[in-house]
Amino acid sequence: MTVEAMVLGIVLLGLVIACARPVGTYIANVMEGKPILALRLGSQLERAIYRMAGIDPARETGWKQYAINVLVFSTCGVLFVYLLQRLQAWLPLNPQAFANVTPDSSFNTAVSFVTNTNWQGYSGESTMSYLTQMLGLAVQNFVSAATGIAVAVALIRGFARHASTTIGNFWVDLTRSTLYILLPAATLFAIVLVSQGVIQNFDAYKDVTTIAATAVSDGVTHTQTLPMGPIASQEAIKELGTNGGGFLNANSAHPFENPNALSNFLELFAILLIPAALTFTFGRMVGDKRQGWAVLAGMVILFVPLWLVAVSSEQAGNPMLASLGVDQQVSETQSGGNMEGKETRFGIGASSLFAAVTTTTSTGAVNSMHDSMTPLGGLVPMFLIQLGEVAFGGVGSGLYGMLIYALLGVFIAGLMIGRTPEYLGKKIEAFDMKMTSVAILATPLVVLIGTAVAVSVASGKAGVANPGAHGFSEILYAFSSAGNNNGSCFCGLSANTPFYNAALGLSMWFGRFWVLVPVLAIAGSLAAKKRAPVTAGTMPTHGPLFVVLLVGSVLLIGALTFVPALALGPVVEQLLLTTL
Amino acid sequence: MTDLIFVLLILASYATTHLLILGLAKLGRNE
Repeated sequence: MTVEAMVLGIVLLGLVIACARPVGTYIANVMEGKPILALRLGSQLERAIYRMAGIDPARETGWKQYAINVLVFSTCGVLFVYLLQRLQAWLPLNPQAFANVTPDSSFNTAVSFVTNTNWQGYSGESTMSYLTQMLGLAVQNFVSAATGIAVAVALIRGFARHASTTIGNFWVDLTRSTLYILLPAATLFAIVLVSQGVIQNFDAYKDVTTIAATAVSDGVTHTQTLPMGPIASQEAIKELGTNGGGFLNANSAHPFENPNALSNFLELFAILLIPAALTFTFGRMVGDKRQGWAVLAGMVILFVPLWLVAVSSEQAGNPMLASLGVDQQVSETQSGGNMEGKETRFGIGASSLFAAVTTTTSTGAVNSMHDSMTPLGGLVPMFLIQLGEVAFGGVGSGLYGMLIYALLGVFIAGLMIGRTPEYLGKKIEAFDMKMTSVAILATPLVVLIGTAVAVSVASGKAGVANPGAHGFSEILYAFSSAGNNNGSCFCGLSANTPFYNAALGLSMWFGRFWVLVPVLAIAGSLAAKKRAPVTAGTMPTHGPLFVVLLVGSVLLIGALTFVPALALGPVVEQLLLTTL
Repeated sequence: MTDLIFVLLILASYATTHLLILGLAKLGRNE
């Protein structure tokens, strides 16, 4: 790998960690309702929202009601976005006169955006009206991320409280995380993106005359249609909320979404900022900042080696081309390595880093085509998704996913030393471990069963453009991405079909809520417990031993669950490249 | 007709998850 690629990653991580601390403290203050300036300024608006919605902000609920509120809110969101797409032809802000979206695609997209997945079977610029993009998709970008923060904070309260029957008020958590965290951050970031050249307008698409002729079916043309639209406002929350759904089909590879190296760096920074900051929120809310540092250390340790594998593999290029004497070495005149599917604006270093960042979080935005990565390079984003996106992870979902693994880690450690496992003074008992098991096993079940069904039925195999191991990788990636609410793809798969729209839609739903519900159950169980005093026998959960346990638990579960499937896809492909 | 199928699919997804919540809550009370 090149020095530039290494420096880019180190600077990015350094900047994210440096900024995560104050942002995490701010999030903790907001979610705890501390009398900080932002809450004082927004208090009238916040109270007006509660009045209009008929919410009593002082009334907290137990985990069951909290989960039902999340579920009802999300289901209403799915129904609304579904309806919006089905009626868009007759609604305003549709200058291109797009038809109504098909029922199966509407279902898939509605579930996709509500679950923070943002898997896109459609092409944005040729399918969605501006109204659908803004009122349907962008709104869900905000509230799905806010739901993630709310659930993570509810779990933190479970650790922080003792002998409590409540874990918070979902409506208050949702409103505060949207109003004081996501909206101001996205507004600021959208303005920055506009300054870099990301477009923001309501114009009809523009026909421009090109310098070079382009071959079309009936000759050549000098005309190209450029999509327009309110892109910057959607781009900002797309990254900050770890959503990832592009306004345009090419996503962050398109210059209107991601014009230059600086905007690319800022988008990477925006993706990682809140997930990293939430570890500090956790440390602050449980009253021991070292706990947050330990979780963050686990995330960094998981991320860095896999990122290095991706960038090294892409820079090494294709060994079959090397055997034919093709020069793939980086030099002053060429980037070297595997540039297929990558923007020359970004090169291998920034593209591989983006691929790793977008899949270690639940973002799924892309600035290069993951399907064109080398087998080993492509294995990395897929495996990062399959690990459950806990190394930073999605906004909220990353932290609660990692804390579930922390519970598993201390449980295993407790078994090894013959002592009742404890985490942050809370005894981890049978019910907590049952919920942990449900939360950890739900997603692999969705992914592996979905993949197995898709490779078994004709409608599943029909979408595969590349037969053999790579075709299997495309299907496995699709279900991994949907089940873990990532949204990126190996897009050689034709997934905008009734089968994939329905199957992936259901995978996204169950991958989100069948993890989120047991997490809330754990929050309720922990909140009700008394805090056990720290004794000489208590295992410290802020030191290197705990970090090793945490990382080991994530890798062990991820490897045991997915390595057999990976062996049939990218591993076979890599072996074929080196042995043929 | 197709719309009805997908709306029912959404409601069925809601219903199964609601049942999960009730089931886990009952399990929690029994523990």
